[in-house]
Amino acid sequence: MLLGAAWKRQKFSVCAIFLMIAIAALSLFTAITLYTSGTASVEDKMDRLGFGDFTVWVSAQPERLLAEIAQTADVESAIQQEIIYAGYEVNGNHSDNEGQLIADDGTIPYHFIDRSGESVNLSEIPVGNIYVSPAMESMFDVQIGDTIQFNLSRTNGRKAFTVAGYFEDAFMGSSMIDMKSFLVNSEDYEEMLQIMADAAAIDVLGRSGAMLHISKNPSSGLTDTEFYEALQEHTELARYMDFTYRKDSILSYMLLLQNIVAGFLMIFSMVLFVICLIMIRHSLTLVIQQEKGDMAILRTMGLTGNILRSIYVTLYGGSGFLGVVLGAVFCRMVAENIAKGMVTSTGMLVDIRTPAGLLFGVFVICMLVLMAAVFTQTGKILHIAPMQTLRETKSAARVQSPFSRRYLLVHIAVREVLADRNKYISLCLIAMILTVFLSVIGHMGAWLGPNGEGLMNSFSVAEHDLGVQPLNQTVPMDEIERVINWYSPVVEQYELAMQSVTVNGQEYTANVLDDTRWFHMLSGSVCDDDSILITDTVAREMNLEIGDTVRVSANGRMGEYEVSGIYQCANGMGTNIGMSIGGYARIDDITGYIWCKHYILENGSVRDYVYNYLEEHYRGIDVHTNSWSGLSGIVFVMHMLIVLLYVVTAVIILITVALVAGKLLQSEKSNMAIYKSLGLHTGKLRISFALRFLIVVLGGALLGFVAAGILADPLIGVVFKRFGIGEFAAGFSMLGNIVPLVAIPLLFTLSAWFYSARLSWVSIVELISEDGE
Amino acid sequence: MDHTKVKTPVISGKNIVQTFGQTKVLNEISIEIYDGDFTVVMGTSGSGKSTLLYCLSGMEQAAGGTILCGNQEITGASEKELTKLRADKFGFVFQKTHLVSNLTLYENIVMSGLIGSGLGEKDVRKRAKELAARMNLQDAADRLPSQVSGGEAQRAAVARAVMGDPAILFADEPTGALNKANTKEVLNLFTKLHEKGQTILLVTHDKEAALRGNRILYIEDGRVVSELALSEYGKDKDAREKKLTAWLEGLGW
Repeated sequence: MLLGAAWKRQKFSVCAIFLMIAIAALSLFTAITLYTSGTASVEDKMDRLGFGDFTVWVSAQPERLLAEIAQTADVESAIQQEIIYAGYEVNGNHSDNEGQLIADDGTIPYHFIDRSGESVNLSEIPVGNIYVSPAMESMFDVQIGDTIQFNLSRTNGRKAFTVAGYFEDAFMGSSMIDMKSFLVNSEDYEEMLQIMADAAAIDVLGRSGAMLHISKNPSSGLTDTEFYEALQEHTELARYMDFTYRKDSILSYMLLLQNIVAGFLMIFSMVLFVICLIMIRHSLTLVIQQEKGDMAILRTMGLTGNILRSIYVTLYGGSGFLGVVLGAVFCRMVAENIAKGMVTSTGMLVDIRTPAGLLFGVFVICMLVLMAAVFTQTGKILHIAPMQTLRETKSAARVQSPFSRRYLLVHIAVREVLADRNKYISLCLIAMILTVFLSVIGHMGAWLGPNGEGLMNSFSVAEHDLGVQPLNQTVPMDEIERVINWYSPVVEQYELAMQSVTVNGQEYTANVLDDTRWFHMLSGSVCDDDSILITDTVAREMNLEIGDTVRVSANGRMGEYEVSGIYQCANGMGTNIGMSIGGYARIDDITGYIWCKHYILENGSVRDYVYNYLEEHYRGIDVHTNSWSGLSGIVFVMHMLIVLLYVVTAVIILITVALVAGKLLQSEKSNMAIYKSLGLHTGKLRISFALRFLIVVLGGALLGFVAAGILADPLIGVVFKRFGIGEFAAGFSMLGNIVPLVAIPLLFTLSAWFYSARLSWVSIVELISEDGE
Repeated sequence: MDHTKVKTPVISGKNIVQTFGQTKVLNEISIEIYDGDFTVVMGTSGSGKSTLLYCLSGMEQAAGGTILCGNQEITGASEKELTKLRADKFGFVFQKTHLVSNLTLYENIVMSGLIGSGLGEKDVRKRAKELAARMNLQDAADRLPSQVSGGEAQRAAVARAVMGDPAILFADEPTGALNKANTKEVLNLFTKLHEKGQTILLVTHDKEAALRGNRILYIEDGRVVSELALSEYGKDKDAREKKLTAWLEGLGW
């Protein structure tokens, strides 16, 4: 009976807390499910496709290499998978990277899928058809029925395919990976090999090659790095390989977007949980204060403090329990939908598996924290002394604040806040937390920029608007530069070569610049001919510090270099080093067509026009902007995520205001009625009520503004380090600093004003007669 | 002072009906409150006397009938019009003092002036000080309602009610929660205010309080069943008491 009565009075608060906890738990469990499922699922699929621990891409001597590798100690297996490398065009876009064509001859169990990632039965790929990763949609807007044309040789060497569907490419499928695999019929594959064989050597554009999938013996005591070093030492791998990827690097690429989403959800759920705890504290404090009298009467009737406490523990603890259960029940469904929504970015559908043990552990922790909060707050019930409480009269704190007719509403608001400041602490804290949260989101949005500039700059070696790499001596670079200058004057230019090297035996990309001041330095000094720069990722992976000496080799030549500094380049998840042209010249030939000229334009907005013009009018060049094909998809998802989190924050604010305002109005009914009876119009009372929220929330938002100024960049930096972005600095921005400072108080104030409409519906008599002094 | 002969109604109600659910609390009551009168409404619990006060003051909208304050109709008036009436023409004293809990007694009085009176801010503060002095609140003026006695709080409530020089002062059981000494103090205040020409409508079931009025109405089942004029007895307390007692006994009190 008592529980029923308490439920009747508290149902709104209890339901609101249940809702917030359910959202928080749903986000948390979804993030965990998504993260663990993603890793396990991609790993399984990679194993099914035989990726091994490493896959090495070669374009010469695969059989010889394979034999050498197979004889190396600690190698469990080495499998060769033949491929054809060829540039391609699709929907009017010429791909910056070669595609790799694979014959679906049944030896590798590829899965065919539809646009949403669900399995599709296909016994054999028909001749003339091609199957692609769903990520091709976000990269090149590829749809079923489109034509993809591969350039195999200059003389009648084009082979066109019709896109017939999608396949699950577990290690090249993500939109984060530029190089894409294509599945074709064996007959078509043979025909392409024939086209290349028939063409004169000078005209051949495509090339045959292979992927060598290498697995380490599980009983080997070598680390992956040591194993890889051993392979390089005992085989001619370094001489013939194009590039190589470790399993964990591929996992990072494949799941980049999904992990970002999971990270966002995780942070959001943490914020929401803290808000829930504050709200539980706030609600219980006010409820106990308001119902102290009734509790005192019940205690005089013989009810113990523990029985009274159990009522509130049941209500609030129960709502928390149900909320967490709801989150646990629906997390799988939400995770599945998120995974489906990201198929065109991840390139495959992640199989969602519920990590039951982990979720149960998190469930228990959540419940322990919630119950601890409820128990702590309801402890006050035990200390209610019946007679003393009944004798107590309503009191208020004596505070001094001015009163004048001109600012009467403000002065009333200030007095109410100062007199009952304990009631507003929770509101202030929540405003602070939400401001920090929105600032973090805003900092990311500002850094990301409208076109993903932040991401582009972090992933590129150095800033540029346009890059042009001549691939042979016939390219008229003078004329090309005149064209570029016609669109916009070139402000700066430098040259970059991206070459494959090994550092202490580990494969990395060397970014070689003719002008080293363009490197994004984080610490130390710029490299010279005897030194190199490394990223945070390389420093972590190889346990290197500034001042250490490393062996760098390329094409069989090796040199020793000192690490002079740490620089920022997230390309390849940060697995790269920076070198000067003089430094690289010590170990490799620098006279080939390896140099890409980078231009910074006075008017960067014309870069796409220049790109298109050069693509259409010149052959033998590789043109690119400071972007990559999958970027727009990622930027779109990130922007949507930011919008979604703003919307969810607005919903949290609405719920918070409803909870706080409901309790405040209840406790201040009497004062409101008195002001009304004195002739203060309801409209003015509502403004004064909303002003209280403005005052308190503005205070909290200012604290949040300061905290975000100090914490936002380092906090994001910690998360971004995982993705190879060594340093995050968004700096001061409208979106990251000003918008949250304005949006949070505004949303709270407007919500409070709307919520206070209930003041209009209640008569003074009702207000006065309900209140007891 | 006795102004009943002038018969200028400050508020007049015709056929006022008020219902709560199926219960008819006011049953077509017609009543006029005259300027300068100290009208007392008596009746048993549930007779409708407080409801009548709330309807006449516009705090509750009557379900039927017409109520006029001067030329302005209260029944059907908008919230804005009623707010203005409360600010400019009405003063209220309740059984529970209903002072703003976080304002001192002085600030409570000032607040009423800032909201309602047409006085300048300086004059409001000056008048509030004068009223506090008149109500013998000098020592308690800077204290919060929770820090003063019931009598002091109620005297502050009266001062607040008359701060804007209202056309009529509505009082709903103003002594209901006070002890004998405080009751006397507050009633003396009402008498003094009446003597200075303040129109008062007092709802009470306290005979002592009723004795201060010059016109007593008795309500039963939502109707005025009897009316007594005490003005002819002037300040002769014994005669007034005797008359009132006999009248009430006649009504089965």
